[in-house]
Amino acid sequence: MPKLHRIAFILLCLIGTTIIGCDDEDNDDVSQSNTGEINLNFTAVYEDEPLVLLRDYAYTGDDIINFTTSNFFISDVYLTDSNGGTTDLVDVDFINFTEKNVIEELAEEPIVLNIDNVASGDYLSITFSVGVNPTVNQTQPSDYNPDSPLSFSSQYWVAWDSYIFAKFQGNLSDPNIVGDNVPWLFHTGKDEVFRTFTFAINGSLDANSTVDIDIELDHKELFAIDAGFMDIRSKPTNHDPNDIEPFIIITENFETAVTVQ
Amino acid sequence: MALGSVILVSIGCNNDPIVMEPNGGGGETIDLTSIPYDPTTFEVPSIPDFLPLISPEDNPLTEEGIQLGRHLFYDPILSIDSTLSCSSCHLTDLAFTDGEAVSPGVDGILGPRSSMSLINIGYNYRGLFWDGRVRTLEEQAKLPIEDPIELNHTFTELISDLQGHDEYPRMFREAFGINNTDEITADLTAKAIAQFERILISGSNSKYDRAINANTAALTPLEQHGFDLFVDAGDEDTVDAECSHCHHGGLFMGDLFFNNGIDDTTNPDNLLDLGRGGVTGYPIDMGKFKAPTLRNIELTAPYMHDGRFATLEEVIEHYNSGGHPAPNLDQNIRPLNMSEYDKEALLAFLHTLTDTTYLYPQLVSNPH
Repeated sequence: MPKLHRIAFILLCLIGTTIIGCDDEDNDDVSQSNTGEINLNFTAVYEDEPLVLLRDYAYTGDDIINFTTSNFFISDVYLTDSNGGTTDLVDVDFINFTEKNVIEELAEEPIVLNIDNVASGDYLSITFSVGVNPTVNQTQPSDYNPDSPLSFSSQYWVAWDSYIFAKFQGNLSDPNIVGDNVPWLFHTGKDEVFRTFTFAINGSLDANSTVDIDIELDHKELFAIDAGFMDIRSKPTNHDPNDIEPFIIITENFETAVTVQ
Repeated sequence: MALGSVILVSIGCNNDPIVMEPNGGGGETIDLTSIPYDPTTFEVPSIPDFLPLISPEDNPLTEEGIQLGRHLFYDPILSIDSTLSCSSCHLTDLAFTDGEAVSPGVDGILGPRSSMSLINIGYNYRGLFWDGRVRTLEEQAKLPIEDPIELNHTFTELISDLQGHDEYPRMFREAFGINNTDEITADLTAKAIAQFERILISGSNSKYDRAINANTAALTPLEQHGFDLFVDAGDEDTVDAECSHCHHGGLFMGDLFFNNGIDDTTNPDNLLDLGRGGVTGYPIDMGKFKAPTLRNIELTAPYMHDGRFATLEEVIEHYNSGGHPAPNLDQNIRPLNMSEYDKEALLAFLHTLTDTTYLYPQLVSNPH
């Protein structure tokens, strides 16, 4: 994108971000006395266990799997109330289990996104996207101040002109085979991979109260395909921007890998 | 000296009389309020592909602060025996490294790690030093001064020296508005050095910048192939050298820590240097180190945290080999099967990141 166009575009984005950062128009007349707080609590598991980096988990057959990296952008998070109105919660944030799930004690604790000044009411669902939307994806880390997760240059892939929406990395091995180890890595991205998910919550937020919404991501389910799981051993990485099928599989699996309570 | 006595002295270039009073601690408190305090804001323009340069709210860049930091940076007053300064291990001509595998402190004591480049260090917001043990330059600037294998000084003694110095009280006044010499502190000393470090900016005059950002130069086919290898931008026959997973953005610097396979970290007890793991204690961090900027990498040999590789050719060969096994070895470290031409191209591209000019050349040099 030419520089001037990009600057103009960024300005538009910043204006948009400012609007999104405030309560949406449905809530413009909400006084603080009619608001509460919402905590979005993200935890990572592998089946029924907390996900701890470097810990071995059963994958398929005799293969065991571990994780060394797990993170993703979450964006455009909003609640839908019983009247169909929406309340924006989060513009963009970065859920980084890589820095938290380093030992079991910490892995059991959630990553908490606290949102205050949320209009009280009855909410039916929460919607969020994995990655950043195509508008934001036209920007780059250098467009943001360092306190923004969008400034993380480690989450941008120049060759794709795209943010890396999610990173999952680890190792796969068969303990019956001495020295067997298959490093695997899936970094998703590109506009075509951007997906939005809606989950029922059916809860009420009372004024001056705090409601927790627990969002659990089962990392095994991320690799579900057909009736089984992805054959990581035969295709452990994918950097080819023209072959985004693995990215789509992993991203769309958020629908079943995520449990919201 | 009797309490309440007053001595008039002249400090530095300012000829206004300065009131000195005893501070009750054996030294003399010097009143500095006759020296004007009118700091000049220092604005740094944006650099293409760089993050904005953000200073802490309580330490904005000023011309006076930078000048004070510059004088301190080059002054051996910072070491216990007045033999070494920050600049002893961070030489201007070597992109603010020292050319040594590991850096000698006072009495020639060798530390365990190689001097890191300070080029564009102000843009490093995600952990400083090879192990990321501090987050801000204000924190960073203090540590070498009291480190026994670096400058081995104490702030108690250093501050006393600065308070009694002919020049520094005036400079602290002009930079930070202190009222008397008692207000010279370790924090202000570190703030000044941090300000100076923030303006060590180089990033618009390398061949890479001229070719990619300014369109005033062109990469040769060999350099272009190296770039394609670096960022995985070539066709399907081009090897993905995986470099930009760790050295990314306009700074070509990692904002994370990586185990790049230089040691077998299967048993951390065998590691000479735990790296990031020494800071956090977590298994996932054992043997991880900061991925430093590759700008001016041609000038910063030897390489890695302990300077084990003398040349860039050795570095490239290491990455081509896939390195040593480790539980937390980054998955991008694997045998690359680069051809000799590929390796030559990668080296040629890395050389395009050399830029011996600075955004503020008049402020970078030794003022003493």
